[in-house]
Amino acid sequence: MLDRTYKSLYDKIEPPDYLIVLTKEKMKKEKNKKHFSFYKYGAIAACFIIAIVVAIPYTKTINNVEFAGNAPMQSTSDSLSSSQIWMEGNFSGTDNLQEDLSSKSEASFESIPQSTGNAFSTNTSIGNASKDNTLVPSKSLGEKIIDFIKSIILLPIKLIQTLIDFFTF
Amino acid sequence: MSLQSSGTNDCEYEIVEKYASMVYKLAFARTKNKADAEDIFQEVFLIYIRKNPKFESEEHEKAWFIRVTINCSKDFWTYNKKRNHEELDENIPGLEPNEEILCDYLDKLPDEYRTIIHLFYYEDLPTAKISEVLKKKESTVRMALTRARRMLKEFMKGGEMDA
Repeated sequence: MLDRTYKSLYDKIEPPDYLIVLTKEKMKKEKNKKHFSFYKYGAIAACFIIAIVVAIPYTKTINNVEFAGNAPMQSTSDSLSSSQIWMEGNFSGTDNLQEDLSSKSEASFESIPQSTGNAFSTNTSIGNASKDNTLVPSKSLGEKIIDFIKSIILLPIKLIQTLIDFFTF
Repeated sequence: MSLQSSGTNDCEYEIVEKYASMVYKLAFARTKNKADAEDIFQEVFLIYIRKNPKFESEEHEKAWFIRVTINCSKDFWTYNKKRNHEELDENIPGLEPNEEILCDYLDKLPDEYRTIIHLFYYEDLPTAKISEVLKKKESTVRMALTRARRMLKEFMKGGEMDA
C-alpha cells in the first residue's frame, strides 16, 4: 500500500520544462567560464615563464659585470667573456668569492700594465674606478630599453635553448 | 519554452534529461519545497559540469547523482537555516486524498528517513545500495527504514488514511 501510494504521489512530481532549459543554459555558461579560466591560468603561467626567461640573462649580466669590474681585461668588447674565463680559472667555490675577488684583483692591478686604458666593462653599473681614476659609465635608460627589447626578441630562442638544456641534462 | 530551444545538443546536456526526474524528485523529497528543489536541481548539474566526473558504469553515474543531490540538499538546508528561511506550503496539483495524506505524513518524518524511504520505495534501491550511497552501515539503513515505516504507520493509525 505504502509503496504504491508513494510511487503514484512522486509520479506526479516532475521537473518543469523551463527548469531543464534554464539548467542547460547555465551549464553552457559554466562550461565557457571553465574554458576561459583555463586560458586565463594558461596566460598567467606563460607570463610567469616569460618573466623568468627574461630575468635569467639579466641575472647573468649582473654576475659577470661584478667580475668584469675587478678582472684584468684586454678590451671592452671581450670584458664579459674574458671575465668569465678568468673567473672559472681562478675560482672553484663561491663561499669566499668576494674576498678572493678583491685580493685577486688588487694583485692583478699591480702585475698587469695598464696599456688597455679603460679595461673595464662599460656594462657595469657598480661604478668601479680604474687605475687612471676614470669612472666607468653606467648604462643609459635608452640602452637598457634596447637591451630589454633585444631580450624579448631573443626570448623564443632562449626558451627553446632552455628547454633543450632541460631535456638534455 | 521547448527543450530544443536551448540549442544544447551535446551529450553532456543529455544527462540533464536522463537524471532530471530523479534529481528533482529526490531534492523535493528532502526539502518538500519546489523552489528549493529547483535550486538544488540546478546546483547538481552545475557541479557535474565543474567536476566533469568520469563514471565506470551507469550504476556509478546514478549513485553519483544521488550522492551529490543529498549533499546539495544538506548544504542548502544549512544555508537556509542560517538565513531563517521560512518554509512555504507546497500544493502538488492533482493529488488523490490518500496521496495528500501521505504527503503530510512524510513532511513529519526527519530528512534522513525521507531520503531512505524515497530511495527504497521510489528508486527501488536495495538497502545495501542505499547504505553505499549514503555511506552508512547497511544495518543503520535497515533500522532507519523500519523506524520510518513504523512512524508512518502510527501517523496512519491516528489519521484518516486507510492502510
